[in-house]
Amino acid sequence: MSSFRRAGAARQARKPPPATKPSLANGQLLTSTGMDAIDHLLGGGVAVGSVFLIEAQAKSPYADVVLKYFLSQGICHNHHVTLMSADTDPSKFLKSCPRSVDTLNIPESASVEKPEKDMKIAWRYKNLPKVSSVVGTASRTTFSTKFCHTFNLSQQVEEKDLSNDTIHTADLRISKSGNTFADAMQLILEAVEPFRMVPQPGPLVSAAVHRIGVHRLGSSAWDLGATDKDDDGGGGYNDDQYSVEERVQAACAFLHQLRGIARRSCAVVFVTVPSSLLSSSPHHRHRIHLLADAVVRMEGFAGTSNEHHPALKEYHGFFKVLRMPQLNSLVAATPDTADLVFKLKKKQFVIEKFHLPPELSDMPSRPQEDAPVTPSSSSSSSSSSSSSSQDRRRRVKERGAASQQQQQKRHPGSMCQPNPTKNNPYDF
Amino acid sequence: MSAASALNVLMGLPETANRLDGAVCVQSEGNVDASIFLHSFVQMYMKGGGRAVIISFCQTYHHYQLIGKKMGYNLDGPGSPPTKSLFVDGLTDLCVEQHDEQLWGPTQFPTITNFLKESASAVTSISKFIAAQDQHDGGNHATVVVVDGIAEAVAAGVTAHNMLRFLHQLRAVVEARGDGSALVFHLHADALPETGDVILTQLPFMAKTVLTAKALATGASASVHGLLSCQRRDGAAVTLPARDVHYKTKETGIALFPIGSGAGLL
Repeated sequence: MSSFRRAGAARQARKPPPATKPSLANGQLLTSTGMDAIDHLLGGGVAVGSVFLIEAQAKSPYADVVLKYFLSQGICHNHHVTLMSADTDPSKFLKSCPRSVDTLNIPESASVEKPEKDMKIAWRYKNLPKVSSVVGTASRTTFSTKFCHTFNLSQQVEEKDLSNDTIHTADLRISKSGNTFADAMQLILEAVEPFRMVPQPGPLVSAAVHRIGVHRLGSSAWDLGATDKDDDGGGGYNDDQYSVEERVQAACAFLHQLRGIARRSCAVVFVTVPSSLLSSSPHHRHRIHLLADAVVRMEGFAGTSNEHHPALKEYHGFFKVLRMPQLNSLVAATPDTADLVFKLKKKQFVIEKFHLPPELSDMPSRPQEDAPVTPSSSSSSSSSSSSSSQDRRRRVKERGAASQQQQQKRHPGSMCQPNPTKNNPYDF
Repeated sequence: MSAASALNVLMGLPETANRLDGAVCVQSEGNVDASIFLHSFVQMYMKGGGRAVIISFCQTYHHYQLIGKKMGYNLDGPGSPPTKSLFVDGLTDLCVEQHDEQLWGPTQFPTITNFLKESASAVTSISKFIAAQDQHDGGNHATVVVVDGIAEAVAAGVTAHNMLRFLHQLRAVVEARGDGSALVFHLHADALPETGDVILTQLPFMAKTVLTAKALATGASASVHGLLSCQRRDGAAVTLPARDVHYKTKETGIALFPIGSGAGLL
């Protein structure tokens, strides 16, 4: 038997897992979050071996929606998926994940954009590139549909997809040991045990990607249990009630271990954290953020002063990228813009660049510098809004005459008759 | 002037120096990550023929290895064994030499507190590594010991007392050599819990040079990534005035330049 082997054999063994791709910037293995926009913001996708953290507001469902996209993406690609929650039934949560549009047998003609009609007026605009506010639409190509599916929020994932051996849920509502964090860590270790990797020089490559979703880490439903006092004088946990500091400490220890596990097991971890855990102190927020690789915050408008703001009425909240992953590289990817908003539609969740609406009113947005603002004119302008049109015309005439007289005093020989309403921003 | 030379000048060293003058504390403030400067110190020693020991509580070996290749040095070394570097994986709570067998398993998964309680074993393994290197090359080469992610470790449950004891032991091992070997450690000042305040007060006294990276007061900039402040102590514990520069992170290193001379600034 010949000792020669095909060069491709070794390459075949190092083939990356399905639905992953190497980063163009640093070669890091990436997988999709299920949302084109977030993939685009993170520099192509979420890094395998990283922890992605979402700050979730108490009553807003938006972080849960992003987590559902992440899980659905894994289900579509037959990734190993583990979901754990102490707040809700994880099985029900998983059943409510959106279904991929790519599996719905939609005719291709429906997705193809119709050619636009020729423009007769302002036809030159046709040649300009189209500007889209939606983040990440440029990558929606044929390859992107394989890497990242499109999901329909109005349809749930099929039962047969959830019956695979690769889907696991962990209901943490009833703690076995009295410490939910310890239970969750034990379950994660058992789940990733087949995927643990021997550290070797070279890029991270494994047979499969494991997606781990942790729902509302450190919420009041997470029990800390009773721990003995540390030998070195460390604080112990109270049986009855836990302070925010204790919860943050437990969450930090959990996240640190989770990060180590993710690095060594080809796993991607999505964690949602209630903002109540972080808002009590900036130190808490810094500590939690430091132990995740990427952090985003979803600030819903509901119940805030922005809820009825006319410029924000189309959107449901701000999407803020607080920390970008910096794996295997000195430089982190930089998003195109920091002003991002999201809206939850019936069928999809959209993240867009935030643009102020166009100014359509006739009123100038700010007073011109050379406007003759006098106490009398300002008082008349304030009253003009409530007076009748006849009064307004009369005042304009009076002011015009007065300004004419002033102009003639300054420039007696001038033939120019200034328009009294031209420079006054309060007249129209 | 190259970035390494600029950093040397900022720290009061000769431009072409490949040894540090005492321990260095690298601090990050706010959202800025100053761990990038650790790679510069590793680069300084590795390119000067020295050795590096990296103890990390936040990243894996691949992270340092790949960045090292981009910056022009190789942690794996030209041939093995022996290599010129040792990596201690604090993230997965193990002290594993890079060519050893991985011991991690669900039943053997130790906690980070246990790791630091047995810090004597970690220090012993580092001493053994340095002794082995000395036997190989005659002991003419200095070693830099880098500790990355102190705040992460403390946030994850390591007590401040244990961490300080660990760093003191490391500094004693390194400075006892007297050949330009140095200890460099990095922490996020804002991410330490209240119980870790003692670290903030103690560590600057442990170091001869404190480098603090801050975000720009004027906000984010594409051309300037932050402000680096260097505070040095003289031999008689007199603190010299701080020197500030701007910096920009690149794929292959860090560019330092005087305040106001950045490419994007008017």
